[in-house]
Amino acid sequence: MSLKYRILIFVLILAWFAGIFIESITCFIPDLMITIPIFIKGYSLTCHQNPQKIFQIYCGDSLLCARCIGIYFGLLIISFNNLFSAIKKFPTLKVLLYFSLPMLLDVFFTTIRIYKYSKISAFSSGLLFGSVLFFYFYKGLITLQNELREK
Amino acid sequence: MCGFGAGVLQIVPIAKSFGCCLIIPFAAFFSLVLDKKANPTIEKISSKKALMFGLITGLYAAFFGSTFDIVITFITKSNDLVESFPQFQQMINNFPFSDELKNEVLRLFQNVRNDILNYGFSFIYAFSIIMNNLIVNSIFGIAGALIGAQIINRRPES
Repeated sequence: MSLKYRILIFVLILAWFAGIFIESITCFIPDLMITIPIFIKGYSLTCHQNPQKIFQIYCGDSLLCARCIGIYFGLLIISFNNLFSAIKKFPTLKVLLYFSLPMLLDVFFTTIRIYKYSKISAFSSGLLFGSVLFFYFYKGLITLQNELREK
Repeated sequence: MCGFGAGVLQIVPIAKSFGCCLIIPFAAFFSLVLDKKANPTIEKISSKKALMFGLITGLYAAFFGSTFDIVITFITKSNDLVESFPQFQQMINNFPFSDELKNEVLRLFQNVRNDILNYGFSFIYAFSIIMNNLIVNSIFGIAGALIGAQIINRRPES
């Protein structure tokens, strides 16, 4: 995939990621204040937005929980890395399973209260999952691009 | 069918918190699985097909999700926005900005809130719900289907 498409993917993920912190960004750009409820509603489609599980940054709260932020941060990091060295090797689906296990176990253990919910463990397990997820998403896009070229 | 199911689940509060961001991608994946079962073939699912399935599932989910949200708001004359207005008011007041700007923003949302409380419908609310659902559900549907196609294609039986 050419650099311009990789930049586009990164910019889109960055825009989505930045939107999570719209409340904090509003502290610097007051005009954005009017968009906050729309952003809250939009992001509520992808996360439960539990007030105990969100991050507080500067004067605002994040619009997603720690785990979701971890997932999108993982996607963002790998897409950023993809700008400088394009991904050529793709892991097997087993890797996705292994990397999603910590997240699934963390969800399971905190749900049945074996241990207390921790934002750090939620973020880290989400980060692991998100960073591997990007490879599969990117591979899907490459396959799509190749199919469109063949036609 | 998957889009309809996802649209309904998006409205149900418990299912919504449980499914989180997985509802739409899973619906898109499930639509591919159902298609594979309905039309058995040894051919792999193309990414183009996955893209279309993901997009259609996302659009259906957006359509039904928005419709149910608007209809429920119309019947109950209440929704998340109305219920969370006091918290929103508090949040706006905590921002280090001029009172004029704060009042302007609050006035706008007070109008939306009043429309919902009085008539059960607000054009601004309905428009923002539809746009949000269309954009978010389409993207998540496409992402879910593109990843889902790889999972289905790697299965031994396909």
